[in-house]
Amino acid sequence: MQTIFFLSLLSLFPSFLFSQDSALFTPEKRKAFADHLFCEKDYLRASEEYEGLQSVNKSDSLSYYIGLCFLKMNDYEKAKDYFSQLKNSSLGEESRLLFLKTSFLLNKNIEGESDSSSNQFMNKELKTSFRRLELAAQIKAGMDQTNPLSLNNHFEESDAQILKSFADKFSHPNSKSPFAAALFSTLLPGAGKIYTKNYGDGITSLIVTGLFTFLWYDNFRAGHPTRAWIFAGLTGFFYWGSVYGSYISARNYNLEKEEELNNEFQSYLSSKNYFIPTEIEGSCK
Amino acid sequence: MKIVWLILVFSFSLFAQTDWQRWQRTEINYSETVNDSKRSYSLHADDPFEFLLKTAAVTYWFFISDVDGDNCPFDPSCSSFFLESVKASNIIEGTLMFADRFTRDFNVLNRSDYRVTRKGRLADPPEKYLLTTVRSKVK
Amino acid sequence: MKSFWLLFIFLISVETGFAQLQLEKQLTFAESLFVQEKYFDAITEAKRLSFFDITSQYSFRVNSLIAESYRQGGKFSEAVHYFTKAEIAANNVKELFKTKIEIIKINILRRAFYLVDHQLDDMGKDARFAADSSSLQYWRGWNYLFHDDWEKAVETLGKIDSAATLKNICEEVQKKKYSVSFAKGLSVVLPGAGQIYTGNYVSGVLSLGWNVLLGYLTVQAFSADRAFDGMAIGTLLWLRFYNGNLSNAEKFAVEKNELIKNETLDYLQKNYQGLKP
Repeated sequence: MQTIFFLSLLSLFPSFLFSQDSALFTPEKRKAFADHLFCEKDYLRASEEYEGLQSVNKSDSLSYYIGLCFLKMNDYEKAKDYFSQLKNSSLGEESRLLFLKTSFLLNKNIEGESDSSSNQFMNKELKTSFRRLELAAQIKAGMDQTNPLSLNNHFEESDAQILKSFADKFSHPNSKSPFAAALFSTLLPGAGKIYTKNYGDGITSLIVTGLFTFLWYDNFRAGHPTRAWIFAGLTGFFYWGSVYGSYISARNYNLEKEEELNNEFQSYLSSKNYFIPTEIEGSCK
Repeated sequence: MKIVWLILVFSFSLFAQTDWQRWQRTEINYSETVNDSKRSYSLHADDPFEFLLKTAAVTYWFFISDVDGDNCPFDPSCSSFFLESVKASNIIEGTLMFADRFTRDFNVLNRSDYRVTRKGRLADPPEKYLLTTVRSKVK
Repeated sequence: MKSFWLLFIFLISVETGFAQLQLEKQLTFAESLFVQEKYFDAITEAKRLSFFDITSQYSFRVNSLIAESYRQGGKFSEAVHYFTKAEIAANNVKELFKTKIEIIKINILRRAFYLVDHQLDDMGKDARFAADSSSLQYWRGWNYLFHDDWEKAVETLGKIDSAATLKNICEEVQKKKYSVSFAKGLSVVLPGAGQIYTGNYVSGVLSLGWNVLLGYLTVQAFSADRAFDGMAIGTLLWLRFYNGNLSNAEKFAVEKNELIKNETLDYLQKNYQGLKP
């Protein structure tokens, strides 16, 4: 009995010795190291290790993980390429979902990106995720056809409420008309800026233009034509500056609001991980 | 010691992003430099009109602006803003942008809408006020 | 049966020896990448070694190598992070001291003055480093130097004989530096004088010219009973140029001092032969 035990122990040695002889770069060890780097969020190094393995032995799983690395590093273009290649592989459903996510993050038109096979899922959870992200993309695009009913069908009630409010803001943005702002300031200097909630600058504009108008009038009345002309020029300078500034103020107001809304929506989706199950984005203990 | 380990573990992910792009050796400088925009006193111009404008601006800077102290809270200063605006657009748009900036300069109560630079000035680049502005420059 | 067991033990030893050899080879590989200035790759290979070094016997060397690589890439936070790990893995007091000083050097470079001060205080109180007090004093001197406190740097470095050269350089800087309050004081009395003191002659003369002219116009307006004009010129113009003169005197002195400091730091970086951050 003792001899059998000893011989069985002895038989293990060649494999030990062999593995050590080929150093720390055997495919198994490289994979283990790459997974470790991935879990340490050292994604570039992890992707390089996966790529090294890929050159020896190509596999869908390695491509998927390389795609994940790029996704995590916010290099969405590269991630998208990897997930696109895997659409019909054994990891097709996960890849299609992550492809949709990268397209969304790249602000690409999701309708144009998807094909007929895109929304065919065997896994119910992934199918739900896919549909939810599609709806989120429609909301962001400000599509009026985002049906409140379909939001209720696909989301929890609290999320559906939040998304409805976002849908409303995207489809009916609270913007200011630059032309109206310019027109208001043409009628009353600074009024356009007040319209864009730029109260301080609006009032300053009114005071400055008003003051120079008074000096223009006063000097003209007092018989100082040269000074009157100088003040007339300054009045015109500030008056037209106010008209131009009001137009720009409204334009900038709209851009800032749009950016704010986008950031708010993005941070909401990010808090929900874009409705994607976290397990498919690499599991780490 | 346990606390040190905990801090190490939790802070690890903060550093991970450093290596999301390959990097090379960096020359470390003991001296400190503050990269704030500086006035260019060069009279080099692409056309006669720009030359005239620059001459006027440089004369103003040399005899008045550089001697009368730090009166403009913005970066770039009003005169530089004017030069840059005209260069980025045309004389009419540049002048209108300058008039608008001048008015905003009078408004001493509203300074919170601007980002503060390292030298404590209010960042107010002309790109933000061009008719054909780049979206990212607005904020 | 006994001989079988002896053979088994022998094979176990060979096995361990192989593993040891592989890790040693990996360390040499990582170090060779470091020498070739391939710091990013050196870190990758050091991390690989660390991952397979189950007993953490290479922990100190690996973490020091990673930290040093990050330092070469100018990534100070990461360098300090890994030096701290190396500090925890230090095998003896010598390694511990060396690592702590490396952290201090990086903190000096990133101008974390109060942190360095605190770290040096802590080390000073530690009985294990009692024999290294002059070294601590030396790095304290560098800390003052980077903090632009040349007087304290001279005082601190003066306590160490081996730092005489560095002390002399700091003394030179102290002598060369301009007094900001003196420059301003000069300009209070005579507009432009502070600017001339700091070597900005053109600005000083222009400032003096404007102040004389506008002062004259103000006085003239008042003496001709044109009080409104006098007030307008006095407050809107003369006062503006007078204040500009004061702020310029201060600004020029500060700028000159900054230049002297930077030139000295640059000189020390390129030419100083002793230990430096």
